[in-house]
Amino acid sequence: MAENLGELEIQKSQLEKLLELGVTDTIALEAYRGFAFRRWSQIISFLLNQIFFLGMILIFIMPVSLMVLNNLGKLSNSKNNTILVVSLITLMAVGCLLLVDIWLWRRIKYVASTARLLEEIDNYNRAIKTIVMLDEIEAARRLQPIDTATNANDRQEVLAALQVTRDSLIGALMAEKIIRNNQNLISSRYQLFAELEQNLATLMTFDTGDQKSEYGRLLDEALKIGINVHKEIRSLQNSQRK
Amino acid sequence: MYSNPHQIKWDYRVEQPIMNYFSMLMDFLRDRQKFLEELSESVSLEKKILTLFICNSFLFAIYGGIIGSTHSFPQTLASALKLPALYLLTLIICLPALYFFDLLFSSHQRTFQQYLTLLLSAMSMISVMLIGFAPITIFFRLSVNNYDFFKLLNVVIFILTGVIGVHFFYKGMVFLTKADANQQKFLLQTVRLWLLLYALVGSQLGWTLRPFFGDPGSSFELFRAHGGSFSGDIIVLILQKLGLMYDE
Repeated sequence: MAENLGELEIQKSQLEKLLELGVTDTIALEAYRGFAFRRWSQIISFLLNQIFFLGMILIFIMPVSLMVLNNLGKLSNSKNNTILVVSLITLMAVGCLLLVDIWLWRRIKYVASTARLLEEIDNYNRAIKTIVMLDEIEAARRLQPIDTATNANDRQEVLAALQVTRDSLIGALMAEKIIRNNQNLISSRYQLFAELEQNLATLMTFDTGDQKSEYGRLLDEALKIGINVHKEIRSLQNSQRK
Repeated sequence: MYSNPHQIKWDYRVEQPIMNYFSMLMDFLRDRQKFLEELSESVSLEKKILTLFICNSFLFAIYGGIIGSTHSFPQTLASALKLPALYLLTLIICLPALYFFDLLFSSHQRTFQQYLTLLLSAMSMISVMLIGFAPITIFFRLSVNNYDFFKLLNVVIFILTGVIGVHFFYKGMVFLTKADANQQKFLLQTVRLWLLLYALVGSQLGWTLRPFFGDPGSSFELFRAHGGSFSGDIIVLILQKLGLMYDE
């Protein structure tokens, strides 16, 4: 079990290695997280992406269109002609952008489960942060050793549960990646599923009876994350069978 | 014992690998050697290509808007689209020649994506340097009311930034071809010839897409009629400034 809280945290660099998302999947994932979970930073990021894509499409379409129209003798510098040409180019660019959006929309169904797992990772890392804050509060209070015995036991139990949850989350991400990439590594996939089932069973053994203490609440949180991960993997398995 | 909590990063909302384009660009500019190593190993090339396309388009658009602002608002918008188009289209037009030549004559071929990434990274050196020169351009734009001087100033800036970009591209090619020790000299000579071709295509495309600055004496033109060439116009301008030729 990791006493080191830094080892428990799931870092961005680890996620990048686990997910191995392509460019379109990354953008689709960002869009899904923004709109499904109402994350404003990701919605703004998606809208900025739209503006950038429109700009890039215009950059490529505009000069090619102007050169073709010029060679066909359809280009003049009259105001009406300029407005017509600019409108036509803008319409073409918007049409291309719509095609890109349709392509992204089709990728969203492949990354939706990844997005839900990432939400659970957010919840998990938030729990780690809460433990550190509790540690700092206890250190500031300078409690006598006898008074910290109960808290220390609760803390150890929560850390153990979080370790199991961490393993579940990472296992779920790996399983989801295998399914997303449609790999036929059947033995690896089923082994992962078996480990995830075992992790859930382990989590269920923790006593979440004392909801009043902060550690009790964190234990409950860890169990909820584990159950949500399990549900996600079940739905992935069912969709794979169809 | 548990670790010092201050060692842990407290952005608990885990930033999934979101495309943060400009921070990726800054990472490249800070550690170009690492970028070249990742390029030679084809690490995350798709993300690099999209990042560099977007950053280059944005930065060139800003500088294009600055040079177009000498004329009018429509010219500002037109130049903001034309300048990135000039650089990126020239790249697209000339890249296949470089790639297929490498495919035919090299024993350790680079992929199309590797060439595209290297060229885009060289272009990003140019776009970043242009933004670096932007305050100087704006200063002269505001303080000197001379269209020909402004045009010549920008030609010098474009040449200077172009040299910086070409230098990086050449260094990148030396790095990528070092495994091809027997043919490296031949490949690098080919690259030099290709760069001349690139300059030729780029200057002619620039001439085709003009105006970028907009003649202050005339109304806004989206496209100017064909005639003459880029090199001819610049030579005439220099001769006029030196008093060796008179303006008609």
